[in-house]
Amino acid sequence: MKTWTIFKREIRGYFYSPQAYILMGFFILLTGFFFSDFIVHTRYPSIQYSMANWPMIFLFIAPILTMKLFTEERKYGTEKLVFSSPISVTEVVLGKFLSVCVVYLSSLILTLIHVIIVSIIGKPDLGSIFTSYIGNMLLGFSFLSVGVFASSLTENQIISAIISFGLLIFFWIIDILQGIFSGIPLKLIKLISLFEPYTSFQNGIISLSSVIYYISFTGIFLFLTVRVIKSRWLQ
Amino acid sequence: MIEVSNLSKSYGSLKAVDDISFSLKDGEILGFLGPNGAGKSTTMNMLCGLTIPDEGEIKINGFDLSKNPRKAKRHIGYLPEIPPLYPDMTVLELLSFCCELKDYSGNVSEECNRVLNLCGIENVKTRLIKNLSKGYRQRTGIATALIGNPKVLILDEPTVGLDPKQIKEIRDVIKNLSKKHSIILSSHILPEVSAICDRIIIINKGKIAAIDTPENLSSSLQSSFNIYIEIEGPKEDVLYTISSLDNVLSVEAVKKIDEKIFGYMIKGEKDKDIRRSLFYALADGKMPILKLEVEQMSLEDAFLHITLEEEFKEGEDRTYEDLDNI
Repeated sequence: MKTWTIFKREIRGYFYSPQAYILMGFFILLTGFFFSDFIVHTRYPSIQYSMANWPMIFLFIAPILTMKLFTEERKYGTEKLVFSSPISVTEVVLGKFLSVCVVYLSSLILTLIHVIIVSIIGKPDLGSIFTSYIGNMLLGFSFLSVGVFASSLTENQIISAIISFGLLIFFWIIDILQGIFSGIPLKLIKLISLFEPYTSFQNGIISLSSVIYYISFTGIFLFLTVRVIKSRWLQ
Repeated sequence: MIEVSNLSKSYGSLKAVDDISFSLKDGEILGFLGPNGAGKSTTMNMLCGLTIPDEGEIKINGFDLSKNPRKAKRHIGYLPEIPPLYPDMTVLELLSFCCELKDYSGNVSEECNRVLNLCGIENVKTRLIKNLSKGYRQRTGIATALIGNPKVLILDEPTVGLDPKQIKEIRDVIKNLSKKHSIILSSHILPEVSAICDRIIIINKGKIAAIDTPENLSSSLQSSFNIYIEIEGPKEDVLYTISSLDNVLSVEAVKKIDEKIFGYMIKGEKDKDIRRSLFYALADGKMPILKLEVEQMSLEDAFLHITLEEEFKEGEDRTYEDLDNI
């Protein structure tokens, strides 16, 4: 499977350069700040409250993490090497997407130290922590798929980051608009809001509809990436 | 090995490649020649499946590139104009990545060593590509095309950026490769093409302007047998003697070397060698020949002739830079 070949190269690129470490460090620093801030001020051993901030933190990290994926291929002309080989566009997109997922999962794994700390000082609800992790993981994958899509649109990393950031902000702002609208527009907003399904995970529920929502959201953006490459690069 | 029929590609209103057909035989080196933006790179990209043609069919080793891209691409090694190199990898890492990418089934490290030796880059195999000089990058690019031993090599200006010694080495490498591979090579360096190619395709404005061996191309375009000659003796006598010979179309003095010695340009009829009769006639007249040179139409002339003639015929002045920008 060629996805594995591409995946290996990308993972190597992330971990042989400071990029992955800086972004993971940034994530750990901010999540750690929210975690300790909450515990110090409330003296209550819980990580759910700080976890509620994670998607916001990752919203800033995801565009930077993904911006180089396809832009660099075009910058160095290596897309010619890749696509003149017996490999399908889907395999390339999947390999690259999986590599950023692994970088993201590594930083999630590092946050398990918060769980260990609260388990020592109190009795946390491990069930809802687990579902929150699942929620963060799925939400994070959706962010990354938007980033992968944006990086296929341009040759410039900065522009790619701005596009994915803009798209993610759009899905976030639409969530805020929930207070303004009612009736059908509200339903529509709830339907496309990226953060709405996340709340059920926070409450300790793994709802099938939320899981399906995130998986299809991710799937749609990866599919769009494949389309963009086929229709714009290979012309 | 490669069969191309009726290939066309337009970008908007601009026809980058217009109804091109040709074939590449086993073990042949085919040269693509043409001015900038003539459609060389577009054609090569289409052969590698990087550009989808509007019309036409490409068969590589019997596999249709559009219907069976995986099998067809397995037989291609492509070196684009800018060598496709990941700067954050070492040469060896890149080559083993390419091995995987190209479905190489044999021993990867042996194959890497073979190609490293062939391209003369084994001494830099552990260096990061971003730290390599231009020449080594170009060689590494050639190595990525060679890896996995593909049957067809498509090389877009393979000797660009190399010093003269390296150019010679790479040419020798390419010549040796043709024993086992079929090669398509583009260049705008004419001596290079005429030195290593078996056949040449001259592309101009997206069309095939000529397709033949280098020798035939230059001779077919030559309309007369031209001789430059330096003779000692009175100018009028010389002119009279020469022009009275058979098969001489015209003669004129083109250069004065000293009081008695002049350089003359003789145009004889095509395919008629007049050198012998010239010698005897001048010897009889006691006019010694000091220098004689047969003017061959070089490939360069042929190239200019073909490309300019086309332009003349059509009478439009579209700039080639338009195509370069795509």
